[in-house]
Amino acid sequence: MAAFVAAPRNTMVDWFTGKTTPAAVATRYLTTYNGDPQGAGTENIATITGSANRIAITTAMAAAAAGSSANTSILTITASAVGAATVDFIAIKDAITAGNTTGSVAVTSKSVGIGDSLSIQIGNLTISIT
Amino acid sequence: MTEAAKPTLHLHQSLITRHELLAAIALHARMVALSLDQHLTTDLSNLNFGWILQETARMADLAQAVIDASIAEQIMGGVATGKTVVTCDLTVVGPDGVTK
Repeated sequence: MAAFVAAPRNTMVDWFTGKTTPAAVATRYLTTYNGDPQGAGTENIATITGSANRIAITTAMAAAAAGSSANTSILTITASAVGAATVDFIAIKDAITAGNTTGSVAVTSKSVGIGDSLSIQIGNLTISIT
Repeated sequence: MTEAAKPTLHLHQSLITRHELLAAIALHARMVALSLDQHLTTDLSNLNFGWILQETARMADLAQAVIDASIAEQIMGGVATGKTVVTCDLTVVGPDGVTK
């Protein structure tokens, strides 16, 4: 399964062929899942943080080079979890809540306990087109 | 995952991928090995050399089909590898400051 869902792939191809210009994008967000976001997975960031608000990633991501971008600052999902959850996927979304999944990937499964911090260290989130 | 080229086959028309061709080669090889193992330890006179030659020729044909497919792939300029990739490593640290 592709990391990017069909919609952004189609947008990129249409831009590449000159058919359409993509709409301006303000911010993209990251969230946590138990299970595949492109399958039957369940978003669980609200369990962990106490809020359904996802983590904005746009300003943390470097401008793409060689078809790839990585985060240049730590992305903190929570400094102290308020609830326990298992995270085995992350998803990129186009809205802080609701909205659509634009991409996702499986991660090394983490069991987040109450009081744990959950973050993505510098360079540990990469988005690429090869 | 890349998509295998579809070779032109003169045997086993239902086999359309190199993985299946290689699996078929392995199966034939195991059949020959099993037959040899059975007969060499019991009665060599019952060993069907004609069948072994036939199986060996079949394995050679299947292997050639894999080679032909690979050559065709190279002629066409290789296999497209373009793909979208997201990678992510999460860090969990307990209240005691120990990374989980």
